[in-house]
Amino acid sequence: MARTKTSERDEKHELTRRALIKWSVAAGAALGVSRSKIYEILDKTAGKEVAFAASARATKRAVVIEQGNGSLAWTTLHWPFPAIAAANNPKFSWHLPGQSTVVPGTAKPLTIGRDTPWQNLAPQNQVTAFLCGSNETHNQVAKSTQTLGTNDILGVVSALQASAPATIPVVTIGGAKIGTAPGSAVASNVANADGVVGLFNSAASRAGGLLSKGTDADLYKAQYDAFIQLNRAATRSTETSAYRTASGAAQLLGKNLSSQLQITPADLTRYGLTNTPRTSILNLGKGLIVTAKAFNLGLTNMVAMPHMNDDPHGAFDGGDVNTVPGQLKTIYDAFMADLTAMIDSNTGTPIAADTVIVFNGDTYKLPTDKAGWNDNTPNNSNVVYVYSAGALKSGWFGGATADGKATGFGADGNPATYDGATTAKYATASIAYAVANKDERAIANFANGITISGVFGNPKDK
Amino acid sequence: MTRFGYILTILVGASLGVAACSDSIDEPAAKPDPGSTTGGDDTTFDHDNDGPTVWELIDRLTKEGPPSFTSHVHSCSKVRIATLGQVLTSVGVNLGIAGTTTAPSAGDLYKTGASALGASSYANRIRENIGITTSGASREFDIFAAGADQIIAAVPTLGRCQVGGVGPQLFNGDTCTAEGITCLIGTPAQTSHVQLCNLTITGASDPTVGKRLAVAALLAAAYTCE
Repeated sequence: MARTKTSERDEKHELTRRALIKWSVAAGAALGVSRSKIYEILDKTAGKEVAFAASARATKRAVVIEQGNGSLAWTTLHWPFPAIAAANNPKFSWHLPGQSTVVPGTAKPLTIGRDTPWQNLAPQNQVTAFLCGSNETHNQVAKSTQTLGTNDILGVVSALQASAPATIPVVTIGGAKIGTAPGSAVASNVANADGVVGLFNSAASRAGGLLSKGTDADLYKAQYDAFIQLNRAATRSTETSAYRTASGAAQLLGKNLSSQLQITPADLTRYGLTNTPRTSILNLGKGLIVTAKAFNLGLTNMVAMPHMNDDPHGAFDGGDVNTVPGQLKTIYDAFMADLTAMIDSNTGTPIAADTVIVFNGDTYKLPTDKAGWNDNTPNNSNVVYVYSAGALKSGWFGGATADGKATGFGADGNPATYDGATTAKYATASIAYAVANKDERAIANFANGITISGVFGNPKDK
Repeated sequence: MTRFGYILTILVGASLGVAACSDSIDEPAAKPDPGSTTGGDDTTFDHDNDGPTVWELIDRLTKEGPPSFTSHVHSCSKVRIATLGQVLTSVGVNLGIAGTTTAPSAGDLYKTGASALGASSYANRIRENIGITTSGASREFDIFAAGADQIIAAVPTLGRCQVGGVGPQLFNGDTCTAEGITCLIGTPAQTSHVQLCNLTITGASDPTVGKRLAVAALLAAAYTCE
């Protein structure tokens, strides 16, 4: 379709504005002027709109909870399939028959119950759920719901996030991992939440350490940068990126942020982790506590962590459904409360407004028979849940029906015959769209022609 | 094909092309004029229309080697964990010495740093990371910083640096020696290495700290890439 003169002019204006912002920020960085000061200058010289555009994050942060080994099933007890909950069938895998409510105002149907987190969020900010991909029972990391084209969606996310530099772009905890995509970051893996604190707690920077004095730390960084210039290969284009990362590491070595990341008793209380919960729940909660703090300090853009990985076949038979979903809800609610209370110093908005949370896994288990909570799923389907801070249309795309079938969805978002591979593409492209702050052009190289805006995602604000 | 053969082929090809066509190397006829492929700084990407000349290509190949070689060599992968352990041992760090909780030794940091250093996790089907990460590099640099005292003390006795049974001194009073730096970094020290090393000592909060800083920074720079 031919573009109108007006749209061409607007597009050109947008590019010019982008150029101004880009060069202002770059010049500020070169001159050592803080970003907030640059926004002030832009506000005075180019107007509030330009300053606002400059200060807005181009991409959202991401939290990925990899619910391997059947633990994705727990999340269906937070956000059940609407048809399963509505059936009020005590044999179904919904622990609160007759106690569910439909959330009014969501774009697609969404049902919640007593143990659903984030109930106080606005309807448009509620989760989006996709029935997509295929059942990959007894795997820790699902592939079918984590692939976009030939790329790993988390690799795509890290590539998109490159526009918002962070000290450590991606952190993976335990067995969580991210794959690759063009321009993706390399994840720093740690064993547990304490390991995340350890990333920012170098021995050299502690009291009495070699770099405990700020002047020595600065000198070390300067001398490191000087010494690497004596390596002949350091200026080769194939090596500059690695040396840039290492130079950042040399600077990080002299800073100790562990006290700001440390998990306190107050944190454990807020997250409901004081009553000796099972280890997997404690680890998940601690992971999210540290993630919120790391986001608040601008240290990372993405954290991926495992869930309970407990293959809960006996959750209904043994009664765990009466306690575990509630404990998880407390953790998720506290995490969201933290993200909401923490204000991004650059944008002035809550971090929750610029964060995407993804839940995926290997199998959500059989929704129509709670006995033994078997691994098989209708039409061999899988599920991805996304909290997108309003970037995506909330509610269910596709779903499991009360007669044990899977309903898929098409490119228009409407119900269609279930196709795991195609629906997974829509779901993962939607995750990229949410992380890219609804910028369809930014994800075009990865989404390969899939339209998200207006179908699965809310259009970008004009 | 060897590098020499590669260059020879290009030279012969280039000279035959020159002889066959004209007395001089002309610019390609289809080459667009500078600036003709851009509409404006804000609207299009300003392409560089200057293609490489055959002489530039030969010069680059002479310096870098053929692409099949450079793609393997001219990239910066991190030092493998096992290799790092051997490097530490070879520069005099005793990985068996334990530190304290508040002041861990280089050995402690090495042994507990597997995750940060990008170790493999076979149970989770994750191989050892080969890329440089901030966490991995900072842990490696932390180990060098913690081991600096041991290294300074060990340099004169390191077998790899002895000539005729005599090892070099890393420092002569409060100045660095080229022999000592060469011993540390494994390549001949340049004058700039010595000057920068001396600057580190004089610029630090005290000379003893400066020596440790110099050793830590020298090793970090030398072993950033494998």
